[in-house]
Amino acid sequence: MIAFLGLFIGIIIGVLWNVPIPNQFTPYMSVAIFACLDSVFGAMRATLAKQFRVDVFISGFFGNAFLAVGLVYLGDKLGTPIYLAAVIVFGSRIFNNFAIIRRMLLDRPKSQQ
Amino acid sequence: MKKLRSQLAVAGVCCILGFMLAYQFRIINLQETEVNSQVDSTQITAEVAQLNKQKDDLNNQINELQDKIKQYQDSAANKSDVNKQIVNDYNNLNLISGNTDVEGQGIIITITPKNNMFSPDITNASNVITDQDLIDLVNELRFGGAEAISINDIRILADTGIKTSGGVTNIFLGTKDRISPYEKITIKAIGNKDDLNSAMVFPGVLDVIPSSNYEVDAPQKSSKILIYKTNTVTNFQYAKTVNN
Repeated sequence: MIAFLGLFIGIIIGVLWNVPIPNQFTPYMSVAIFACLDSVFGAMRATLAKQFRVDVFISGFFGNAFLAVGLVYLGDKLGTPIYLAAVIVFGSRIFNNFAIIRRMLLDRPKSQQ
Repeated sequence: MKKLRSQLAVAGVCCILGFMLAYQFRIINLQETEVNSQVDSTQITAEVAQLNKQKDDLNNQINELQDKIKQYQDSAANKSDVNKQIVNDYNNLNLISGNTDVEGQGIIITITPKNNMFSPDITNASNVITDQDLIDLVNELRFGGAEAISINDIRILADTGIKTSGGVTNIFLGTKDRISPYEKITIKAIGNKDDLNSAMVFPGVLDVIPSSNYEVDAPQKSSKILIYKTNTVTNFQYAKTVNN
């Protein structure tokens, strides 16, 4: 619940506050967002599995984001679209996590019966 | 207590995520509106076609109006000798300013790009025809007594500047017309055909064309060459006649 409140506050800040982030960082931002989304889905899954640990979540959130941004930067310098690797990996992980979350949520009523 | 702290940490992280999402959405929206404000290529193509059509229409109008002028001239010239004199002067001025199609004896120079696989780098300025080469040729033709010159049927007048543009991909003749140095170039000149020919075959004159990439035919003498009128309008904005 508090998490959603935080998300909401963040969205409001992002819409209202005009932070001057240079335009050339937008590709990095999009990959970082993907990494963060992946972490959030992982956290949801862990919560449902009752394995959630804050330190893992936070380190994963920032670590993934920075690693993804670093890869994009490296790819930019080498002239190879490495960001595709980041996008594919995070994308497949998000779908994986979502699949597991789905199963857990569907199985929950059964186990309670 | 510990649970509350961890929840707050998650909330903070979600806050960052939300901020990034919202920010990114806004930036992308901004970029899209920027792209939309630029006209896309299909629209430009349509516009070009339309403008070309307009140009043709206007050219037709010019021709009609010139015919009318001619009629007026003829009717005026019939009336008196003074008028005849004026019409003569007027026709002379038209010849000089390139406002009429002209024909007469002269020479034609054809420059064809070679199409061999092993040609040196054709994007290098030293291997491609540039403004300087054309200026040299036009200058030689004028020195040889050319009265009217055209390059690819674009009339070269006293005030026509020749300038390479876009690296070496275009050569502008005047401010509106341009030719490509990678296509066939035909230079026509009206004047005494023997004089012009000897001016052109003089050693070194046609050598300005890079022979590694271009085939230059020997000037072709002809007793009847047609050179079209100019499509530009000369308006003197700054130079005024001095009255003494």
